[in-house]
Amino acid sequence: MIYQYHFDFKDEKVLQSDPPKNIRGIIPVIEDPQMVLSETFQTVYPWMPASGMEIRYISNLPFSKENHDISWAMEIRDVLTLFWSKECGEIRYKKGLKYSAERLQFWLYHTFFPVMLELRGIYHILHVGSVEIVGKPVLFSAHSFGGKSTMTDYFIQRGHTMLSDDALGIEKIGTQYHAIPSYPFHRPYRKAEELGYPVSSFTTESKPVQAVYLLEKSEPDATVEIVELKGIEKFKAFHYSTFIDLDFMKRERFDFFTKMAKHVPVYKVMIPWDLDRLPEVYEKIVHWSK
Amino acid sequence: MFLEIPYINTCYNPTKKEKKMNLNQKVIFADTVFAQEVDGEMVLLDMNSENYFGLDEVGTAIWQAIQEKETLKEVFEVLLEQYEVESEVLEKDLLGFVEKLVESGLVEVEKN
Repeated sequence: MIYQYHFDFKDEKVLQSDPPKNIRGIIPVIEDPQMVLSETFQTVYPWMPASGMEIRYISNLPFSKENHDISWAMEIRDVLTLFWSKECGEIRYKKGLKYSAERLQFWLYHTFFPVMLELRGIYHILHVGSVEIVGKPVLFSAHSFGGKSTMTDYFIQRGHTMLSDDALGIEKIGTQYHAIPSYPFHRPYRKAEELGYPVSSFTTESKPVQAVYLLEKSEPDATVEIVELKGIEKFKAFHYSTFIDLDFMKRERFDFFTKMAKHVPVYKVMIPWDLDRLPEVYEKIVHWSK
Repeated sequence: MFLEIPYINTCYNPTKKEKKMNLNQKVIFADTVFAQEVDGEMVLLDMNSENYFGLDEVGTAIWQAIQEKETLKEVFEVLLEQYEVESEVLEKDLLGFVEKLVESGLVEVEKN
């Protein structure tokens, strides 16, 4: 289950699996060697770096507030082009020279589908790690190389259920902000175009977010400290975690996450930059969450 | 990038202020600036510069008064009722604050 959806890989047997229960939908993923986008898709965005490769968006209209739930494509240079057909409700792909089934899976789970969920307005996506503490989801937010993966990894090693290694869906249900688990892979190392190893302790259930922990490096001999944040400091934890930020989305994301900041406590954790002290940080966060 | 706008103890140049701004003027919010209150503090996003700003409690009270009132004079009167402060001090601080908002591109002031 990927963000509570199931992909039906029609043409890649190694990726095929039976749909689990309680999913929101099944999305067919079909190879289309004849795909030609250039005739109808005139809006081609510039190349940009992503996961060690170059990607670009292609659509028939520029993305905007009025035109976001539309058919569009993402080209990963020399690897593959993924195309969401809104009309057919399916994803099509065309292989590039460096295509492999693993790369299809990576780009679909890691990048294309979260962007699609944002564009379609189904969830907002946060670039955070997330695990359960006593059955409740907590989020780890940080700057790049700020310790999200290390912290998530340590919690998984200690038997906590994972919701997200890298990106998490957020859905407002009533007055609560629910964490939508992403995919059951974890990558504690930094290797491009890999989802990592499968995680057995992965929840597929969405639950209200209990807290956000903003991780900040401190000196190796510093005290482990946790303080509650307020106001703009609280909002920063969400801002650091932006996954996709197209111009037309800025206002809605700002409104959504400032409102979420009113409902979800955010704590700053000062983490001594010494792996040997990770157990101490772990104990403090667990104790704090309880 | 996050910037804090200090409200108290802002550097004030009376000559400059008298020339540029007075209480009869009206503040106009930039279309590209979004504002939301979080825990009693106003969080502002300027789409153009991509900067985020946080206002303290007093800055938030001024921002909210500006949203509700037509002219700076009306804002001044609301704040004068709300805070125990000398009217001269309040006027100086209010105009200083609005000037900082203008300098940061968050608002414009309608000329007389």
